[in-house]
Amino acid sequence: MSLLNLKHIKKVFTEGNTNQIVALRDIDLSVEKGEFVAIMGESGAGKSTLLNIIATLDQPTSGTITLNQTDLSHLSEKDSSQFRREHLGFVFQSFNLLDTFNNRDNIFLPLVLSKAKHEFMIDRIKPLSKALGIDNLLDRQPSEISGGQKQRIAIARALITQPDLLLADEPTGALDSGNSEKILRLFNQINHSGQTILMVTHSAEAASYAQRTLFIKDGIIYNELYRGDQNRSHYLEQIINSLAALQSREVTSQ
Amino acid sequence: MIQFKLAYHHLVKNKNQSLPFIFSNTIWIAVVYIFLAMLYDTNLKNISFGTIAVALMQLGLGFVILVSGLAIIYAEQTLNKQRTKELGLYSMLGLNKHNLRQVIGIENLLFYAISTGLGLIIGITFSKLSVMSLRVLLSFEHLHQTLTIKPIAIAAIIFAIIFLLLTLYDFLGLRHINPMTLWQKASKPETVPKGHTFLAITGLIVLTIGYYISISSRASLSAFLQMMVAIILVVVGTYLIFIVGSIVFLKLLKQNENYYYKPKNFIAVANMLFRMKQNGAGLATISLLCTATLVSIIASVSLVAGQNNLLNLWSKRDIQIVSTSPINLVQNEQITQFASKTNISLQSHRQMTVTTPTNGELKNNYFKANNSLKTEVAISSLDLQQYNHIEGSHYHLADDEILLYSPDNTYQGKEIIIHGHTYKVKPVTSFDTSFVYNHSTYKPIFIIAKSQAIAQKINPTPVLYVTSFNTVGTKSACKQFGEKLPNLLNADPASITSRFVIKDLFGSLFGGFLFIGVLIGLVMICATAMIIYYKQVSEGYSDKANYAIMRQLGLSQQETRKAINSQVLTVFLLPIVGAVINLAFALPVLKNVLSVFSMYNINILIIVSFICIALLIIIYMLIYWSTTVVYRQIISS
Ligand SMILES: Nc1ncnc2c1ncn2[C@@H]1O[C@H](COP(=O)(O)OP(=O)(O)OP(=O)(O)O)[C@@H](O)[C@H]1O
Ligand SMILES: [Mg+2]
Repeated sequence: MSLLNLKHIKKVFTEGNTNQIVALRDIDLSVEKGEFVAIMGESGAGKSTLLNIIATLDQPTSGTITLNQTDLSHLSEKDSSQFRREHLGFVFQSFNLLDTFNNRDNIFLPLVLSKAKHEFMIDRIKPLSKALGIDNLLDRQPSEISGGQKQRIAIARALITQPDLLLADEPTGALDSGNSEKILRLFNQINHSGQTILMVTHSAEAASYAQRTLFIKDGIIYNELYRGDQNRSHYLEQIINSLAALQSREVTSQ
Repeated sequence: MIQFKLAYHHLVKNKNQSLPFIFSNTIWIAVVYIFLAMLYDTNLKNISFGTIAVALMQLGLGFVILVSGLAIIYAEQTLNKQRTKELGLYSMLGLNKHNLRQVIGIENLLFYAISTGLGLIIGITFSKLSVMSLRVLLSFEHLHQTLTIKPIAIAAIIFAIIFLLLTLYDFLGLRHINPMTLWQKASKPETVPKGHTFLAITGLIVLTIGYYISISSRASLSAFLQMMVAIILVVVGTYLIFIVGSIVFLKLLKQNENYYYKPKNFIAVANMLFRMKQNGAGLATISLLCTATLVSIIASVSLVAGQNNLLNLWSKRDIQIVSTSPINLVQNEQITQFASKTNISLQSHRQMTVTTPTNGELKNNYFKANNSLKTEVAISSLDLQQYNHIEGSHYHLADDEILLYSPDNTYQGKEIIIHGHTYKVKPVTSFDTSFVYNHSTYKPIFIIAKSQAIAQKINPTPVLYVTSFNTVGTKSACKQFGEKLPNLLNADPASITSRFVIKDLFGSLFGGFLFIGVLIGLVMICATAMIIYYKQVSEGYSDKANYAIMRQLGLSQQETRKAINSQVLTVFLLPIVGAVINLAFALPVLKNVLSVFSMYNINILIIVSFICIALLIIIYMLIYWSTTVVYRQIISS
């Protein structure tokens, strides 16, 4: 059984009384434990919508979604909050660190919300901060560190609960190429140590770090590319070709 | 002009911050105007005891100006955080410091103009409406109100000065700053103020001096300046203590890991520490407003509640005539004739002779005659036979024993030493024909000695003749009789006391004070509500984004609610505690003020205080509860 299963997921936004926007038409997707999956697609294709549904921040109009055999499509507000902090980790484009806390407390936040013991938090943060190279940042405020550093703090915050699934929406969107590369290497590294990752991205470069890339278009999964045994530059080339094909199809269909 | 556009744009774009700021300024301006209007637009100084009323209003005015100045400066600090970010952006886009100063200047001018306009309109409306309705409610017809330009102009000038200082302060903040730091400053947490132990100690010292002055100074017009200084010191001290104290308190909470790393406390403490100075200043403002509410209501209600006491002190009989020579037959005939003419009958006629009261002070049971600032009591004496006759009692006394009558039994000593002789004191609680000579404010004490000779030895002064009787008839007839009697007998009005006349007099006198007290109390409680509302709204908007992020990370609605409650409850009681402490040190002053009106009964003051504190706590909780709902709505919208 896969870790994450989506069957016939449909999401319709209703604006006003009549205007309906079909963001997702029919999505079937399963993710195995330990996979690193990238999701690509045009702006407005429904990537964030999909991620929000998996994150239990939004509910699908129809279809079923399970994570570890838990049905996510009909959780109450309270249960979904608890589910999020116990099973999911989040990394956002804009970092979403809280400037009221210093970096250490930002990382502790999900554990505090789960009522963990302070000693437990300290035990957890030690190996993590070493692996992410953020030891010397912990006592500073988010306003006092760089964007790349902020994203590493955010990743530490996402990983400290040892989530089943790490969700990342454009994690490198606000970073320069050097910092992006560092973050993606980090993703690779934590993926190798067993962490399942689902990442939405615009950048083919970023997607090339994943093992599998999904292309969303018109509310369905249009195409899927496995990296297999190829090296990264090969895989990148393939992704770029796919994207080009996707766009040209669009041109011919118009 | 681009600077104007930028300033305007910033004000409108950040309406979540600028509207609450304008709102709180408006409240302060309205409050200050209401005080000014009472001073300049009414006949306050012409009502009885008007000079005291005016002096009290002036003290109140000084207080509200000081508090509004400090509150506005602190409120602007929050606003400035956001503005600093924007200014950083402009400066990156090429505006120089001079341009930035212009932007700040124009924006502050806009704030000033809008707030003052609104504040004056609200102030004028409120004072008109409240004076009108209180006149009816308290049936106090003596106060008239007009509308003149003077208080409007003074209020406008006062706040112009405050905003000018504010702008200069903002300019100073620009001096050492480059675009990058301007940009970053916005998301930086507030830091612990430099030398905060020093500040805490300064605060304590300032507060102690303020308290000391207020306790030790006697309530009189000559102490006006001292009172003003005491108020300023207490205000400044309260601000320092609250700011530094709340920071130390929050830091301690944060250091206690078992407390801090609990979901609700974690968020609450971090939020408050992030804006710690602003938080402390807000609490201090609320505390001071609560103090002012309590003091004004307690003082005026105590006066009214003590009114009957004072009436009994002046005369328990309907008519009391105090004269240096006995009432002669002719006068007696005049009185009887006038009584039948006004359709009243005279009953229980009484006469006594007492020694003329001697003013002085009583210290350690030792009486010292004097007429100075320390003078507190007026002692007179009579013999036991007269007392037993008037009271229908059967006391016996030895040569060195006396009966002592003091109002509300305030003399507690077992003996009393007068002119080198020690007398054993037997306190008595009733004396039907006690009186206040010349209606002075000194506490009257009557000493009843075994014989006339001893009474003379105790107080060797000429005797006074006290004639008293009750009048039976319609109320208006009795009052008319009392009013005309001095003229009829050709006597000094202060020597003839009519209960019916003074009852009316007290009604209007204390009605005036009740009126002012209730008005100030009302203004203060409204201001308190508004400032709490302002605090919650402005904090709501600054916490909104954080709560949104935490919801994504898994904070449920219910936990959000808990965190908000914890944030409110952790510090919610501090302002009330502060207000009660301030009040405790204001009570001696209140007691002094009340004794100016011959009110010595502390019990009334204490009971009224407890009732007022209880009421304030209830109102305060209601305000907090309803504004917390607003805060919650902002967070979850
Ligand atoms: N709350 C909403 N109400 C109405 N329509 C919405 C809402 N959220 C998203 N949409 C619409 O659904 C579609 C998919 O949006 P989504 O945010 O998932 O796109 P995306 O793939 O993440 O785009 P981008 O790459 O620009 O982030 C868009 O047409 C968007 O306008
Ligand atoms: Mg998106």
